[in-house]
Amino acid sequence: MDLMPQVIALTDYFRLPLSIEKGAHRHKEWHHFCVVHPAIQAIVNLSLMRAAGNEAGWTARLIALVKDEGGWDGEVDTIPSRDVRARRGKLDLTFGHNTLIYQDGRYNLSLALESRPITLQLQFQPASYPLMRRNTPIASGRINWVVVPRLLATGTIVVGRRVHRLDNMPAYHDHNWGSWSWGEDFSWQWGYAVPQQIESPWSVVFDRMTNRGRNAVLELKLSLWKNQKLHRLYMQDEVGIQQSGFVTQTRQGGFAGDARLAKFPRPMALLAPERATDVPRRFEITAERGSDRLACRFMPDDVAQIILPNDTDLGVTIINEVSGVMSVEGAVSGEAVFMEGRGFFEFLT
Amino acid sequence: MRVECRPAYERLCELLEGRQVHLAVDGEEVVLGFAADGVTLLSEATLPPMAKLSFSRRTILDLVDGSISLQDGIIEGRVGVQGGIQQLLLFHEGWLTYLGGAARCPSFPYLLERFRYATERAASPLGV
Repeated sequence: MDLMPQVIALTDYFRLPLSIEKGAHRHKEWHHFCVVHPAIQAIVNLSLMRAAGNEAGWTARLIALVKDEGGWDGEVDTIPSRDVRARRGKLDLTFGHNTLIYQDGRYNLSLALESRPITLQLQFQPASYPLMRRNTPIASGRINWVVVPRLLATGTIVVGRRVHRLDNMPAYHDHNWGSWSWGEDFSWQWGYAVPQQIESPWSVVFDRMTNRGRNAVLELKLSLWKNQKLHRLYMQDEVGIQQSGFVTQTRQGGFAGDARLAKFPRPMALLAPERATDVPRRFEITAERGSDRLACRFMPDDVAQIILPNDTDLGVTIINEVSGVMSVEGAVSGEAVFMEGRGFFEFLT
Repeated sequence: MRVECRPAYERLCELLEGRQVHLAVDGEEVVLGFAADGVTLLSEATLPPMAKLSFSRRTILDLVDGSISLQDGIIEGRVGVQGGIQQLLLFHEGWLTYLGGAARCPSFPYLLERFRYATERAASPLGV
């Protein structure tokens, strides 16, 4: 009997606290999906957020970013609260005409941006069991997450006149919720990679939560899946990182010769116009336990920035969505591990 | 902004208190006067302005849509900026404060859509 649909249904549902619950006044929660392929990459994020002191209540946002041969396109739509339906304990979300429903063991996503000619009709079939982590410290708050590192996406993505038909394309999903304020003293580096070959059994997820200066590590974790199941979880001192260089788009061009760094929502580029980033040009993760060792090398090949207004001041928080290629090699319990894959890393500035 | 993001409005007034800014949009000129208790629209300058800005409605939309950066707009001559360096630095801080407030005001997307509609309608040869 395949338990995966039940396990996901029992872990990956909206938490949405009652107003009397601790931290409810600044609760944040989102479902995040990515399609990971050299020809097309997509990031979809449906979020419900509350900021302390904001009497207006929940802010619902839909982020849809797509990268294909035309470069990055997409936008962040804010959905009026009257058009939002989300049920605590379920994953059955309506954001205006956009929907995300978990049903029959699959995530069904249907969306069309209001401000850009982009639509996605996708079904995500989980190909691995989720991993859940609760109460990771994030400045004065806590963040929780569920990650499903490997899914297969089938459906259609339309960008303007370009129609992309997906058939079991590699994909990724996570769900975050918790209580914190944007702009507080925290930063994260979060990334994953899935193999492009469907027969490859490996997938990895990396998580590093630090203070804003990135000189105090609150959590550090590297998770390795083999086929459907979590195979190894390396934590704290078992994990090392090394990074070099910084990604900068010069006026002469950067990645793919594009002189402009893609920033969303587009008006927020006025508040964060910088072309320089603190995204590394090369990011290496090592993990060791006994005779186990893993070496992962992530080489970014593109960046899109999501810019959020801080809750704590008039500044912004930048989430660098960095796509790239990851190689993983090593040995676990005497078994050789090797993977060439693609993924996204988030570097929060 | 005074109602929807008061901290930004108050910070803007505090930063630019006692100063005036001259704006020209497609040749239409206005003067903004800043005081501790608010911003007023003046028919003409009563002080030498700390900064003079000129741009077209189309350029404002291109800035908002991320098609050009403010830096590129100035270099390409689509955004005109005049003023002393110290005054311009102060004005820039006020500009960022204004934008930071605008990003937090629920009514601004609606105002922007109205501005976009009016601009595109004016640019249409049929005026529709």
